[in-house]
Amino acid sequence: MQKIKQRSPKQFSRKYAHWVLLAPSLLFLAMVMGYPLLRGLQLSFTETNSLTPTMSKGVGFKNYQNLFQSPGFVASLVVTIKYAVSSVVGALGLGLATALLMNRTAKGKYFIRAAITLPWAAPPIAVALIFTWMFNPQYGVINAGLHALKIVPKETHWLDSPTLALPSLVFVTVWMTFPLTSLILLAALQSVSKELYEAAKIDGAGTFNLFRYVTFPFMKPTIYVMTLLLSIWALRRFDLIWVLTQGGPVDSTTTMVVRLFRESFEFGNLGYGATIGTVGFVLSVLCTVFYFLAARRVEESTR
Amino acid sequence: MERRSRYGVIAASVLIGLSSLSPIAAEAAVTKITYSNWQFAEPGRGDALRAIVDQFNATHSTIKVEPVSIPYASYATTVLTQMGAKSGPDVVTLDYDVMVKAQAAGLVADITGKVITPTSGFAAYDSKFIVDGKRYGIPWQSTGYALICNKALLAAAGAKFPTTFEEFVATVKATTKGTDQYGFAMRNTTPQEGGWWYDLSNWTYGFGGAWTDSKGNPTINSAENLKGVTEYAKFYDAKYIPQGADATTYRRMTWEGKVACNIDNGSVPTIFSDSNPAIKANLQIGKTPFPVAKNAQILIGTSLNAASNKQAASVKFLNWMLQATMQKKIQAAMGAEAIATKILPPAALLKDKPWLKTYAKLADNGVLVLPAGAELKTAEIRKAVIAQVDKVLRSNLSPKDALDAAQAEVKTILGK
Amino acid sequence: MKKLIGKVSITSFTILIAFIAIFPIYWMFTTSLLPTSKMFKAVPQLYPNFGTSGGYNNLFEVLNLGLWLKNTAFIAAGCTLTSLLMGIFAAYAISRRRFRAKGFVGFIMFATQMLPEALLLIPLYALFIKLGLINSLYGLIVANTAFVMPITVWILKGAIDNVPYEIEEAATIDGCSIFKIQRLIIWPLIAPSIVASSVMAFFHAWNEYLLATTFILDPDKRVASTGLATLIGELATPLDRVMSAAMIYTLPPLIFFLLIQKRIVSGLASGSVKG
Repeated sequence: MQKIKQRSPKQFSRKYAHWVLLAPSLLFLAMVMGYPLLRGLQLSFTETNSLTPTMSKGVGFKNYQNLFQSPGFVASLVVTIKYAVSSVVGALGLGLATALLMNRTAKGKYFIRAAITLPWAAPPIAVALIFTWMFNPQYGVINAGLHALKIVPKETHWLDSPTLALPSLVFVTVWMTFPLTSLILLAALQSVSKELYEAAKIDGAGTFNLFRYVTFPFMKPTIYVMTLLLSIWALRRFDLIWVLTQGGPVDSTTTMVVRLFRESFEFGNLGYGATIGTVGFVLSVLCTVFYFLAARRVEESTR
Repeated sequence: MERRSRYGVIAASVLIGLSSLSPIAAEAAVTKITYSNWQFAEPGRGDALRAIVDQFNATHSTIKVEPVSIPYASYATTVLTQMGAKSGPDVVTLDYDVMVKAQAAGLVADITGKVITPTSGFAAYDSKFIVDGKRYGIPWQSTGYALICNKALLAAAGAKFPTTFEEFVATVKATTKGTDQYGFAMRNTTPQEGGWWYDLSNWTYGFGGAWTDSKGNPTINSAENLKGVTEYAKFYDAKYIPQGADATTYRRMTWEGKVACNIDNGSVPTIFSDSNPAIKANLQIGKTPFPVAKNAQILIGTSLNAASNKQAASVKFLNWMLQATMQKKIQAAMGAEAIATKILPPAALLKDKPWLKTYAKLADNGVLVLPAGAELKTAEIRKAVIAQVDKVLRSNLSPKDALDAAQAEVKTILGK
Repeated sequence: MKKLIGKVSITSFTILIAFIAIFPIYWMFTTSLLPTSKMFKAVPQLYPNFGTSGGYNNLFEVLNLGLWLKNTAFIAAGCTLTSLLMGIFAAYAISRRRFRAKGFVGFIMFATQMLPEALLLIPLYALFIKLGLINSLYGLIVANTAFVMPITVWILKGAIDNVPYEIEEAATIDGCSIFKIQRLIIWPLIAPSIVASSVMAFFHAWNEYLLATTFILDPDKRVASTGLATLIGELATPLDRVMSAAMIYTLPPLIFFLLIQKRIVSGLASGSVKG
């Protein structure tokens, strides 16, 4: 009995083994993400020019004051929220529909699975290149097709129209993200127990009620996780937007990340750029906190 | 225990390995210098420029020049960020407005006295690279803008090569046939802000405008600029141009015979004829068809990165390029009417590219697109003006309100 | 009758989804095999010009595509390896061990996903200069790993959660070390998830653009995403050529994802379903 109290080296290492296991990844993240993040925060309280980054001077909360007073920032915040919400809703909606569809058809399932791998696997830069051409107002295939179907007038503008640029961007985003969403939702869908299903069917539940009372509650946690992930990705997305529109026209697709990039790299205002980045980061954190609170509520209610 | 330590060692060595892996500096007898120029990324001219670098490398055993090609759209941003962080290429070719910014921030090296004045003498704009008696670069190339038309398309529409603005409007109108053919093309989209600024400046300059007055006060909403922007917007609204097309697209369209006229710089006819030799005979080139003989001028220079520790080798490279034989070669390769030195295009080149004579003749009309007296804020002013013009084209803002708003914004930018 | 309507609507919806998913890639292929002279038509030609080599002709000589792809693959492989090596141990610790800071560690891993790359770019750039990682493929491996590894941890943790603890307990009593348990018991059981996270890591690095465009200067070290972006010049690269290059860049992830898609999804799903 007494022997147990005595700490042998082996027991010691057992006790702290998790830190040994975690050390490489945590140290690595601290170096490559933690340190730059802190430096970024620090930058946001300074006036620093990218041409002369060593001549930085502290300005307190001035950048934040300017930011919240600038109409451009509010506009880009609105664009960001519009973009994030619609692309998340779009990906979830289309993803769920596709997942339900795959769950229904045995033959179609493999076909759809193979088909939706394409948008999922294609690199964003390649996607941006082809969509730029497809959206071309004069010779683009999208206009040709939609005009032939009498849906849009001839020479409709997409990426260069202040009203349609953001929806076009959302379309491309949904196109890229719905496959993964649907595949993960399908996995969740298939974990719904068959007995539960049968029991509900015997009770006379219709298709809609089956979905509402049996399937949906089961999938809720997965839907929540996907919502969170899709939102965070949307808040961060840069390459696609940059290559497709660079925030234009008339700033109609200038999200916070685009603004951050322009401010930091085109105008060289590193301090102000870092301020935008910090605010964006805080927004993401808020999203996550909101998610965890909501997830906890769901967990409690399903228990 | 054994196993445990083995995994520990693997994990640790990966970490150590990662943090200490620095590129092995090739400190052999050969000094490697990097030379960045967006023209490397261009079809045709990129290869020609690479061949010039290859020639340098072939004739020098101790210095090796490596081309760095960054596309124009992201060039200034990328290079300036790198130079600001005390890294980046050793030799950099920069647009003049970018050079001015870099010089003010101390990012380009003072090379006073190191450059051997070429036998033929520097071109006149060389003085632009000397600030307070110190040299911060050498001119690389300069070109103005001219009207480039496809003779065949004009003839088919019964239109003539325009010399006045009224004729220009008539010609463009006559040669526009919906999406089958456009009378004109110009930049009008956000991702092309840089080029858009040159295009727009041609219109405002052409109606006698300027972005600032002689004292550096902004004159964005002057009557002349208003006239230029108004006419520019009319062209857009009338669909004389392929709306939304970027330069890459409409240039392709031009060499495929889908666009009658462009206003573009001296290197563009070369691109057209390289891409489609059949169009060469149809190119007719003359003065921009605006009332005032003033057009945008591109000035490009080559400087040394102040953070580079290979100045000596870099200077050698610059001086090698300034030799008369190399200047001739560069001129031919780049299809440029004006380069660093006063050398005029040789007869053979003029025969091959007759438009160079026209561009050279128009050289006196050229005005830089940097707002005089506010050169350092060119990027910010450009952004403010273009954003408003964007609204004129796409949000039904009147040109007058747009330029008034831009003027107010520019005043704030300049603190006036 | 009702059944028939259901069947028809299911089939048409299936076709619609497949069409939307496939068409842009099909269009990339079509454009890559279309001469520029046929591109500017109000009614586009809907099929490629088979029998010509289109933009693929001399593609590897005209563009440095081979080199770009080689560099991209190198970075992607390096990123996958380092992410796995670090991630697998972290995942085990978070899944199996009980310690006070666990929630916090989990949060840190997740928080990395919220950071906009553009915010980190400048400080990271300054740091990499000090470490000599600028203009180096290793630097890109390091940077990409930071963004990818947490996803690896997340997927693997979910997988380990699903391995019944009892299996391990027996081994623990037998006196196996934690590392031995992982190697002999856990790793084989979560192999599908390891494959899944590897593929995710590989192609995250394969696709990455922002870091690559900022950190790599030397054209010899350029990766495919930035290389392709250079083709969107102010001047003109023929579109069939651009699309040919895009097609070749898109093919590897396409083939790979098609081959082992099921494994990726089951790996991801076991991570995400459990949260």
